[in-house]
Amino acid sequence: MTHTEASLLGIAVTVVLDLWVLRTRLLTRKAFWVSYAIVLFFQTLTNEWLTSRGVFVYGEEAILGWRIGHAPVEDFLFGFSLVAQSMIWWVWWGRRGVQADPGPGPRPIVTRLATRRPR
Amino acid sequence: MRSLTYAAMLVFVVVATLPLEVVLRTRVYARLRRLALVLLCVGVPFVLWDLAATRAGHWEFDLTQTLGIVPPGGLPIEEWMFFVVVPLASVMTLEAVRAVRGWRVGDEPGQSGRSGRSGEAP
Repeated sequence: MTHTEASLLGIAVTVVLDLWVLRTRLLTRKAFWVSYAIVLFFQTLTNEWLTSRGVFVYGEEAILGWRIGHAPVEDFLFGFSLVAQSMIWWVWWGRRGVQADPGPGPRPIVTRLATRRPR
Repeated sequence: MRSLTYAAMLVFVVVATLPLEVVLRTRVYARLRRLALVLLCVGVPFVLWDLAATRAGHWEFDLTQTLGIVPPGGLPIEEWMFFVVVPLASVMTLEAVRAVRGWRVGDEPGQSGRSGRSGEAP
């Protein structure tokens, strides 16, 4: 299997996981796509930092050779799966009741002092 | 300095997302148990993918641009941390978007029916 094939398989797994296995259906939500767009912007910067300096070296046989900047397109597919699955599992564990409700929580001390009522 | 190339990227991601916890109250660091479960569920398959991919020659690392700490398996310590930092940043971003726009992501109470909490969701 090449990096290309593995990355496409990764996306398929991500979609199946979200829509049919965990049924989080996050990929159907606006919040996901806006979040992903933001992450993608930063991923483009950080991956360029790493690939332009040769921190990652790719097997030429394993990739198509199509690049965005110095990063192979496969990296963006890999990144999509990693980012999406992180968000999907976050939502899934929340649905299962693991620290689902942020609640009021401990407020920052600044807010606490500012809103303290005199006795 | 060269040995810090990869580590610098990880530090940048953590530092860039950290203010969201305070300013937008994303409350991701405040929910460490949930975060740890995410890191486990995502980290295991992706580290296995990484190990398989490096063995298959899909990619390799220039170890001179890493701290030089290589745990068993052959991946530099930064690559392990990548699978902590990127999921963390992803979740922070999702929570930040929710905080700003108020859009639902699917874990809200009552999302899968009122009975969802006590009984089985339909």
